[in-house]
Amino acid sequence: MDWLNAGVQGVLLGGQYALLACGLSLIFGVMRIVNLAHGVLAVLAAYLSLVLVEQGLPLWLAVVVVVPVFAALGYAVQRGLFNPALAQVGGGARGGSGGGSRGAGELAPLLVSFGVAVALTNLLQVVFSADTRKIPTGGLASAGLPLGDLSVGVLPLITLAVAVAVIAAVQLFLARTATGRAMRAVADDAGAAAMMGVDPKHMYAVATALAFATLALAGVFVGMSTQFSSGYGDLVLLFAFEAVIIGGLGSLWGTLAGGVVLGLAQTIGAQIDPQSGVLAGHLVFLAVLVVRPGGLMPRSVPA
Amino acid sequence: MSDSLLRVTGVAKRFGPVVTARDVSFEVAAGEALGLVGPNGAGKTTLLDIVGGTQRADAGTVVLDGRDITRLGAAARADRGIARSYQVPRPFGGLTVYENVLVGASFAGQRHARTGPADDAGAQAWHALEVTGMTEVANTPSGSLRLLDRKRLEVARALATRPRLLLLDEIAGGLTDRELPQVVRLVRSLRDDGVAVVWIEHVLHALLDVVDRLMCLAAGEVIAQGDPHDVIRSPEVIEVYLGSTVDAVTDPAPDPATTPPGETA
Repeated sequence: MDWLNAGVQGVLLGGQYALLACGLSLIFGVMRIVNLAHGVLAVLAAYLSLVLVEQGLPLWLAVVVVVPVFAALGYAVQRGLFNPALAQVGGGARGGSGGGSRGAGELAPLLVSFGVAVALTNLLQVVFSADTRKIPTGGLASAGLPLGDLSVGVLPLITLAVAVAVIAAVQLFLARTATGRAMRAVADDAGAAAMMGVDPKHMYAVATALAFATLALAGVFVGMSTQFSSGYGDLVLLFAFEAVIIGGLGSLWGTLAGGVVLGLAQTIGAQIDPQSGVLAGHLVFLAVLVVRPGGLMPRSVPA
Repeated sequence: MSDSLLRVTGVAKRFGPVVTARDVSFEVAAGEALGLVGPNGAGKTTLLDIVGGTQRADAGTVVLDGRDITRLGAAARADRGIARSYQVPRPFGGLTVYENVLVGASFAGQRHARTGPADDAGAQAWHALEVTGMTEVANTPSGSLRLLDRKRLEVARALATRPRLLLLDEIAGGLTDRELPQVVRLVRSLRDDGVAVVWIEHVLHALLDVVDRLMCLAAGEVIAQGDPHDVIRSPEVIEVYLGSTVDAVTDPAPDPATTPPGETA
């Protein structure tokens, strides 16, 4: 029964990881940028929600405020920081006949995101100190549903449902809408897409806006379920990154699977030895890299 | 030609020591087809890049319909009616054929073409597939197309943007004798519909079947420009082409002005 419990908790934990990793996966899929500021941005979203709740806003309203704010922030960050860095990677219009023109500038977007991560982490520490905080949920975080002999947390269940819904929605957006198609086109060949009237810079910014929106939502759920502090972003980034890699770079359903695999590895590992849950997750991550370097579901979508 | 749709003036471009365009000037009127020939490395594709906006010229201006678009990016130019096919097809491999075409139909030319309801783009995309004979592979992932269909897709995507100016980069190469006339007919009908065409092509007899004027580039410079048959007979052009290609081409071409005087087989 303990093992079954570990399995159920692992899947639920995986929902949180998948939600966290969705934006990271999207940005990588469209732009080939690994956004190292992903984790600390999620923590920033958690802090902002906390502040709003402490000001007396109901939590749902805080989410309604924070998510669009982050979408706007994402658009601005892409246009102001990432796009100029991408322009150093073969003129920004990559792929196709321009192939092979990538030089040392390849690292530029990564380095910019690293700079953002470092600066923002420090800023959070200055503003909020290093104390751990948690978003008050009025008992939601500790509520459980009896399921046979098990008790399933309501909040993790909601998180998993939201993760599946968000990933399905983003997937649908990419598959069915004109903007989603354009985003996939830009991911394939930005230069050719531009010749068809799609502005890659704008499309990148829309993708990042979407990614930041999902990341903000994920940050709020992390803040509700976990004691977080200004430095917590590192761990968030690490788990999100592992989920993305396990699932396969650029594949959103893969990211969901990757999150669940990571969650399972951690809870089952902890069942074996309470101290070794996180370690077990890392080992599975490493094993996937060795056995299937492309991840479980490599590159089905978006590029 | 004061009513020219495209006017390129004094365009220059160099990559390090390599000059790919030197003081290139030409005009294309609406509904006119201009052929672009020249040896490999003459700067033909670079010229299309500069007109299409994927490369910025070092000097010179590009004017479309009286408006200076020299500083506009490729997407903005596509919006104003410039479309482009690539010599080496660049399909969006992750998208189906129909989706590829739909991207162009949904985004480019919105300024002047978007009038109907939302599914207008879908109809426009489908029309482009019909015209290029690609409806049967509409739902095929474009990454798995064979070469001929990839080339067709290049043209279909360009058409879907409802261009006023169509830039074609070697769409006839590798086609069979049966397929070639289809392409020629397609380009001619586009031109007759009022679309201006700039067409780079090594298959000269196909080109000569369609174009109103011919321009020959060598080492980034315009060495001849004007009536197609005059151009391919000019000594400079023959020298550049070493004679052989021109001979091979003028024979099968349905040429009203026969018996080229200055040529030997």
